[in-house]
Amino acid sequence: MMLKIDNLHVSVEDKEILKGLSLEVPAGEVHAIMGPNGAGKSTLAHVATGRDGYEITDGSITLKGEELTEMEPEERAAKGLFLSFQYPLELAGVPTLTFLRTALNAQRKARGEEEISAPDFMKKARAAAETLKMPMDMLKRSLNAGFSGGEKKRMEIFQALILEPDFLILDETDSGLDIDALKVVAEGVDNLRNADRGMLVITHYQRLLDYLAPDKVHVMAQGRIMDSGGPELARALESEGYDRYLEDAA
Amino acid sequence: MSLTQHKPTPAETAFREAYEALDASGGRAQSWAAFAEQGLPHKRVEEWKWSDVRQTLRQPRSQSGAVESDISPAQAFGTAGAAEIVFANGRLIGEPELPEGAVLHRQDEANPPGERESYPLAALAGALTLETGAYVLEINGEVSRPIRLRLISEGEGAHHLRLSVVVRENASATILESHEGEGAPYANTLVELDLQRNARLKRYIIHQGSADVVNTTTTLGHVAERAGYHQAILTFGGALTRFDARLTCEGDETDIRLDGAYLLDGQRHADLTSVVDHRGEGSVTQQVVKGVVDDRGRGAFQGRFDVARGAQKTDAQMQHHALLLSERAQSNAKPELMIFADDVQCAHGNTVGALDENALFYMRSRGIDAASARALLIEAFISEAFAHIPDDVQEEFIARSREWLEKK
Ligand SMILES: Nc1ncnc2c1ncn2[C@@H]1O[C@H](COP(=O)(O)OP(=O)(O)OP(=O)(O)O)[C@@H](O)[C@H]1O
Ligand SMILES: [Mg+2]
Repeated sequence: MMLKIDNLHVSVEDKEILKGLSLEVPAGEVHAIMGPNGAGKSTLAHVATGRDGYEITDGSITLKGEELTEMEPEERAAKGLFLSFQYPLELAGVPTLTFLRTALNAQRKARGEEEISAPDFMKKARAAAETLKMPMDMLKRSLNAGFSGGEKKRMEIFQALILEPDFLILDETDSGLDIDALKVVAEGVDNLRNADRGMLVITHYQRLLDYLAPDKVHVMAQGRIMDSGGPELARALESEGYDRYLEDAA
Repeated sequence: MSLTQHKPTPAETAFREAYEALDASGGRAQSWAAFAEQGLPHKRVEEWKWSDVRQTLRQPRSQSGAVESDISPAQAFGTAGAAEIVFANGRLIGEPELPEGAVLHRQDEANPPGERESYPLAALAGALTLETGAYVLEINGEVSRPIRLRLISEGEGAHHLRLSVVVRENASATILESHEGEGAPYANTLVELDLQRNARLKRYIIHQGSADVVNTTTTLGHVAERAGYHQAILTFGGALTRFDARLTCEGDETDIRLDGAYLLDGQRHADLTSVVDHRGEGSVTQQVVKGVVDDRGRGAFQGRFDVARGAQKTDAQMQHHALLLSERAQSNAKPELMIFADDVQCAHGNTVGALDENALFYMRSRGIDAASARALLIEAFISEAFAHIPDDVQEEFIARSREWLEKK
C-alpha cells in the first residue's frame, strides 16, 4: 500500500479533530476527499506532513509501509511525501529556484543520491514552467512573494513537478484558479500520474475531478471517512450536499 | 551630569589624566571642556537609554599602547583589492598608497568647531586623539578604486581617532571600512564628513571582533546640494557598540541611504542611531535596518528624520525590523519623524517579532532541514538591508552573515 492511514485520532489543544480516520491509497491511484468546511481535511494533510501543534492520540500513518508519525517533516519529504498547501506561504527574499534546488538536493542527499547539477536543474525547471505555462520571470522572483492566489497554486504544482514525489496530497489546489488555469494545472498534475505514484486530492468542486477522473471518492465529515465510492459519489454530493452525513453523525 | 556636577567616575578621571598628558593645541582644549561638561553618556540620558557607556566603562582605562604584533591581513573585504589606510589603536600604520584623486593628510583644525562639542563621545575623540587635530582624507576626483579603511583595536586601553573625509565638488569615492577588535579595548572614533556640491560618498562598514570590545563611532556629516551619501553597516556587536550618524542635508536634492544590520548572540550589544536633518528641498533619504538577536543579545535602533519648514518635497523612508531568536533576546527601537514642512512624503515602519513558524514548516515540508530552513529565512530577512550595496561588497556582507548563521 502506498499510503495507509489507520484509526487516526488527532487533537488540537485538547479538541479532537480527527476521530478514527482510516484510508488507503494504492500506488497508481488517485483518490479524492470531499467534505464540509471544518471536517478536518487540512488537519489530515498537516498531520501527514508533520506540522507541529497536533497531538496524535491513536492510530498510524504509513507511506510504502514506513511509519511516518515520528519523522521530521523533512524526512517525510525525502521519503516522497508532498503537500500542495491550501494556503501557500510567501517567502520574501528567498529566490524560488534557489529554494527549490536546495530542497531537491536536500532530499537527494537524505536518500543517498547525487546532487543535481545546475544545468540539469535549470532544464527541469524550464520544462516544468512550460508544462504549467509559467513565465520564467515568475521563477526569478522570491517564492510566492506578491503572487496572486491562483499563481501560488500553480507554483505549488510547479514544485511538485520539480521534486517528483511518490505521494501527493493536494489541499484545495483548485480553489482560486480561473477556468483556464485549472485546466493547465490539472494537466500538470495528470503529467505526474503513473503506476508508482499515488495522490490524495482534497477539493470542494467537481471540475477538478472531471479532469483527474479519480479512482475513488471519499466523503469526510466530523473527523472521519463517512462514505467511499466511485466518481459518481462526487456528482451526487454536488447536487445533494453533505446533510446526509452530518445527520448520520448526529 | 557635567563632571563639575557629578563626581567623576574612575574612567572619566583616567580620561582627564590622559588629556593632561597631551599638548592642548588643535582644538583639544575646547573638546575636552565640552566632554567634561557632559561626562560619559549613561542610560538616564534619553538618547543613551539603551547604551549605557558610563556603566560599560566602569574601569579606568589608560591610552592604548601601539599594537605590538604584526598587523594581520585584512579580514573584511579581503578580496576587494582596494588601497588601504590602516589605523591600529588609533595610530596610522605605514604610508597609505592611495589612488589618484585621494590624499590623506593631517590638519590641526578641520570642520567648524562647535558641532562635535555637542556630542560627548565626539568631543572625547577630539580631546584625546593621539595626533593633534584630525587626519583628513580628501577626495578631489572620481576615485573608482575603493579605499579600504581598517580600524584595528586590541588590548585593554582606550584609543580615540578623529578622521575627516572631505569630498570636493563633483568628486566621488567608496570607502570599505572594517572595525576589527581583539581583547577588550575601547575604540572611540569620530568621522567628520564634508560632502560638497554634487559629491558622492559610499561607505560600507563591517564591524566584527571579540565580545568584550567597546566601540563607539560617531559620524557628523554635512551634505551639500545634490550630494549623495550611501552607508551600510554590518555589525556583530560587542560589550557595547554604537554607530551614531548625524547628517545635516543643507542643500537641495541630497540623496542619503543609511542601511544596516546587527546580528547579535551571547551577550553582545549593538546600537544603530542616526539623525538626518533635511533643510533643502527635494531630498531623498532611505533607511532599512534589520536586526537578528539570539541568546541574550541586545539590539537598539534609534532613527530620526527632521524635516525643516522649508524642506518641501522631502521623501524620507525609514524601516527597522528585528527578529528575536530566543526568549531573552532584546531589540529596542525608537523611530521618529519631526516634520515641519507640509509637502513631504515621510514614513517609518518598525516591527520586532519571531521567525515565522508557518514559513519554517513550509520549507521543511519541501525537504529542507530545520536549521537550514531557519538560516535561509534569516538570510532572506537580513538581505533587504544589503539590497543597495554594489555586488562585490554585497557578497562580502552576505558571506559574513552566512558564517554567523552557520555557527547557530
Ligand atoms: N490550531 C487549531 N486550533 C483550534 N482549532 C483548530 C486548529 N486547527 C484546526 N482547528 C479546527 O479543526 C477543524 C478542522 O479544520 P480543517 O482546517 O482541518 O478543516 P477543513 O476540512 O480543511 O476545512 P476547509 O474545507 O474549510 O478547508 C476546524 O473546526 C478548525 O477550526
Ligand atoms: Mg482545509
